[in-house]
Amino acid sequence: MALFSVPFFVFLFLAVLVYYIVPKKMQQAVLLAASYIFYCYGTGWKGIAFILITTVSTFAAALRIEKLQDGYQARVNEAKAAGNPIPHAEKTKLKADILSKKRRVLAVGLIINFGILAVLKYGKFVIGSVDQLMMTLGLGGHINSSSLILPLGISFYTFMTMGYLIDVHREKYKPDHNLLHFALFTAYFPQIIQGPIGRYNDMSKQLQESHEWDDTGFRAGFLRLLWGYFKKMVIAERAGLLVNEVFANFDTAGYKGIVVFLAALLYGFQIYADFSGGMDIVFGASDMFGIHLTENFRQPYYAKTVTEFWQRWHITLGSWMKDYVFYPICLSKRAARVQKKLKKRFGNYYGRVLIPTFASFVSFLLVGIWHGADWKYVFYGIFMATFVSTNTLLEKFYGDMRAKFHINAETRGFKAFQIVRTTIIVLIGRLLSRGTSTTAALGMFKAMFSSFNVKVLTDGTLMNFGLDMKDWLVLILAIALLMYVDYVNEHGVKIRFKIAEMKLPIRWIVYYAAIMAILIIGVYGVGYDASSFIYQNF
Amino acid sequence: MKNRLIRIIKAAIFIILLGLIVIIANIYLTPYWRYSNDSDDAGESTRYENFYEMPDNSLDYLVIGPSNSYHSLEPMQVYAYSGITGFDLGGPSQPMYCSYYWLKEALKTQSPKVVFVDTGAFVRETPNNERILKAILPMKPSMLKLQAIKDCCSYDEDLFYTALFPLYQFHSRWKEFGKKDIERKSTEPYLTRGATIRFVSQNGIDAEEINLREEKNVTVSADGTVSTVLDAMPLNEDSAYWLGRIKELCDENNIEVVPVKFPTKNWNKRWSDEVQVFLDELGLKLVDLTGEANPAGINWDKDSFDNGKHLNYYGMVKTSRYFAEYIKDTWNLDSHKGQSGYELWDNDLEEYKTWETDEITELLEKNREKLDYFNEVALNKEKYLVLMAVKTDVSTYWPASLDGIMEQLGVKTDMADIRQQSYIAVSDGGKLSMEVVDPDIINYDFEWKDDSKALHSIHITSGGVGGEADIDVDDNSYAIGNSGLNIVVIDKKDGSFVSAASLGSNEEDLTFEKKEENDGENAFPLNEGNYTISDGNSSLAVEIKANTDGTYGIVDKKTGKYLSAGGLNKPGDTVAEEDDLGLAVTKWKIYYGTGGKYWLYSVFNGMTARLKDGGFVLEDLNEYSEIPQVNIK
Repeated sequence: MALFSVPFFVFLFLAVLVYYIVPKKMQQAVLLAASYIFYCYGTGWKGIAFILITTVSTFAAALRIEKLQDGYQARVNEAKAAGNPIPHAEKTKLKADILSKKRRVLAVGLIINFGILAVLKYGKFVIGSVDQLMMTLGLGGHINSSSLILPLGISFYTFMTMGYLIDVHREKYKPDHNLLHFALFTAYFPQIIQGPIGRYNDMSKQLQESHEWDDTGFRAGFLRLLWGYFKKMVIAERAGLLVNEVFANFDTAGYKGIVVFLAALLYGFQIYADFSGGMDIVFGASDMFGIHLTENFRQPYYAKTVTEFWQRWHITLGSWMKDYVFYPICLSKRAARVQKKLKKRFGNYYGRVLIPTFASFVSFLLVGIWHGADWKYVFYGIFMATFVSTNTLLEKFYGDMRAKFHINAETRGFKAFQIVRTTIIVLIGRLLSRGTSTTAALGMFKAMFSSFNVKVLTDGTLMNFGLDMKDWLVLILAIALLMYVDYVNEHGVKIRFKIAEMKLPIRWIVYYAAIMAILIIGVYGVGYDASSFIYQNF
Repeated sequence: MKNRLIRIIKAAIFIILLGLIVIIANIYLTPYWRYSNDSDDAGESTRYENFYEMPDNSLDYLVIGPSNSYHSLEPMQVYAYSGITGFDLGGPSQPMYCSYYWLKEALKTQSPKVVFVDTGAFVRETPNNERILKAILPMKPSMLKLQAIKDCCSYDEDLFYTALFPLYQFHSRWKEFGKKDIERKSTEPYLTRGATIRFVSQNGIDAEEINLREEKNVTVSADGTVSTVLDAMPLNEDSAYWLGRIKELCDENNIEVVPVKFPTKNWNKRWSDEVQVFLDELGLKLVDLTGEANPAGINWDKDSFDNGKHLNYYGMVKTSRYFAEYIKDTWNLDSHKGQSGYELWDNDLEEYKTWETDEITELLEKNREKLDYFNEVALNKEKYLVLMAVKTDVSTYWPASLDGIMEQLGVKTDMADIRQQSYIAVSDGGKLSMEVVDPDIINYDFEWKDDSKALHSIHITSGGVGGEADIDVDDNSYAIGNSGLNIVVIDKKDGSFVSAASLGSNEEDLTFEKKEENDGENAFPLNEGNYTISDGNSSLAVEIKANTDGTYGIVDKKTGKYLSAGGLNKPGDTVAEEDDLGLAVTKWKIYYGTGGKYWLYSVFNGMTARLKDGGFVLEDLNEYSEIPQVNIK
């Protein structure tokens, strides 16, 4: 069920209504039922099978890990209580044995679930690449991969559950003993379509608690929902008219110069409005139930470095990679050994930062690959990884240069320069992720600088992309509004809470204005693909 | 508990208000398909709104189906001839299922005796979303409308959603939203009871070529492009199913269903034979107005506006007159004229008569406006000083219809005979005081006294090829100055300006431009009274009556009937005689001819009439040859 559809509105409305009508102890059951109804509607019975496999296998694996841990602890305590504590060496061996068993269970859980993700999401890509290679070498025929389906939200719930399993393995918290609780965590419908990648310890308490109706909370949630739709329907879909045309037909139509630059720039706004708009809808819907999800965006276009950008964009993905890829690499024993050697070779500073640099590179390569099953995402990952890792590696060097040239990094001017620089780097990266292929992306980058004709802005060329003057005006104003709201949020003001506390007539005027703006100036309906969010198939 | 109740009430009010706002947005952003004579729009919004205004149970018949229905049968014309009331509920490419639902909707408030169904619905290509929306959206909200949406729109998701929630498609109209969307009504009077009239008289191709369609399965579009109709185009079998449903509905309501092939050239034998099979199965008898029989007497040279696909005003008049007789004779229905409850029809008919004449005037404006103007000048020649000057040339396409005017003004020169020469003339009170023809430029200055003895200085210049035309009175320049004959009319009483005109006659299409209002609409060369019209061979005793709109009615004293173009427009058609219903067919203009004679002009079809054997026959008004003239004494 698409987020922008009548069935979703009706579904959400009914779910909220039932949620607050039923006795509090039934609220969890309502959410679970709603989540599975939502999932069935969206993906069919085949997709249900996959999410159930992940839910049950992860639940069972976590309990097994706990049992192994508890078993070890019980033996140690028993021996101690009996006045016969286990000797240190034996305890160490026992601990290692338990750890090995725990790791095996963890490995099985990871392999099963990441394996499902890899096959379903990347299977076509791998098969296609192998097929292409075999055909190039004259070795093979066509391998059929058309039967692979992609269940709704598979990337998101896989990462969530595997993060949970790893946390249980690390003894960060106890596993859930209630399958239904855990199933709700996995399938919770507001976040299943496009995240965020929630953490069990953040969400479980909220999901299991009962919630009283909260006027301000509900209103703020509703406003956030409306804001999300506004961003999606008024900005993202509208910008998409030009973006989609230029990216799809770059080769055949020969677009150059400002047109390509505008397409890349607008794509930055399109994907931001689309993804963060989707998040706002998800968060708004969840807030209506009194459940507050982990923020996934924090004014990303105010980032001063690419590293910071990824701390503001798709925060939960970056955070997941940090906790489950970056730190494990950096803190592993092997890394420690290598680091010693590197320090001897390259000195203290570089010896220290090379491992984190490598870990950053791997993390962001995986971020790139996470986005999709195509070589362009691999290169996208490499592109981002290069900037993030060199940022880590050269941090001292940059500091030394600023000192040498007396550049004060705290001035507004320098910060503005950093923001613009970061935006440009991200914009170039966008070409890689959005282009039809890596070759096309590189071609577009080159084309940006050829035939840079400013007259294009006024000679009517820009009216040939499905946008007329009024559309451009709306787009510019809406983007300005988006940046203003981000600016206000950056300074700690939550506008929707301010509105939620205003008097009824003003609140209602805001609600009606937002709804009518979406209905009237939103881009949807005849001639448009109804709200397929960019991240829906991740 | 109390808080919960307050919250529920607030939520309910919020939702209700939101619903109202959304409904208003839906209404004002949905296009209003406004009726206009000039555009391609059939005016669905205007049509169905007008239908809902009809008093309950006031309609004797209904017409449903695609565009040939409402281009052919015009209920107001039928009412004028027979007093029988009806309404066209058809639409462009209206599928039979949409016809069914409109019939069902109509039967909520009407109880007609007969329903005419255009069989053109059997011949239709793939359903057209826009046309289905135009049929569905004007329906008032009801369970029937929901059912109609389900049956008519389910084949296409976008169509279905739009029919349910028009903003789905039309929200983007905010960019063109304007006054026309707020004033949701027709800009012209809407008196045709669902019919769409095209006051266009020209066809692009001649009748011989049109016949190809019946023989060779070709179709000719409005711009003349010929294309082959795909022989594989089958008839719609779902039309047969829905016609069956229409018949069931009518049987339940004691209504007779009459399938009709309205006049069009877009039929072929195969379709006709296949439709007949469906009709036989349903036990329905077809009224066939196509083919050789041509009972309505359609003249395909003049009676279509799009090369034989649909009828224009002339074809519509003929078909409506046919139906007036047919309905009256077949169902023996009484006239409702003057009856209580039918005041709307009677009032609208009066307005319709004037509107019809005005529209025809506009159609034939070029000719009639020019004739009316010049005839008024001639009629009031004694009051005027008429100054004339030619620029470039006046002769090549000089209209013979103005010869009589020139004679009235005292002009001696044959205007058709001074090719590319300069020419000036002054007619003072109907007497020619000065007239010069010269190959070179003529400049003429003179002083002239008006009736109050005030002196005026007048300058006239005429240049032939490459020259100018100026007419100045007291240093005021009044000539329009276009190529052709420039005329300025001055009031003899005080020397004030009355009017100026320029008759461009160096191109085949005569153009006419005038300053100041002097449309001559009420210029009557003859007073009302008894006359004899004769041409030396035959004669007719008549009574001439003046209508309030500047036209004449001419009554044959022997029969007491009015001369009528009778819906005809082919040269050689005999001018009929019938009762005056105030329609254009019985309206005439009488213009000055030469030698003290006159000639007749039919307001209905812009043709003239020749006296023959004590009656009249129609003739095309050929500006470049002799116009048949008569003595009226």
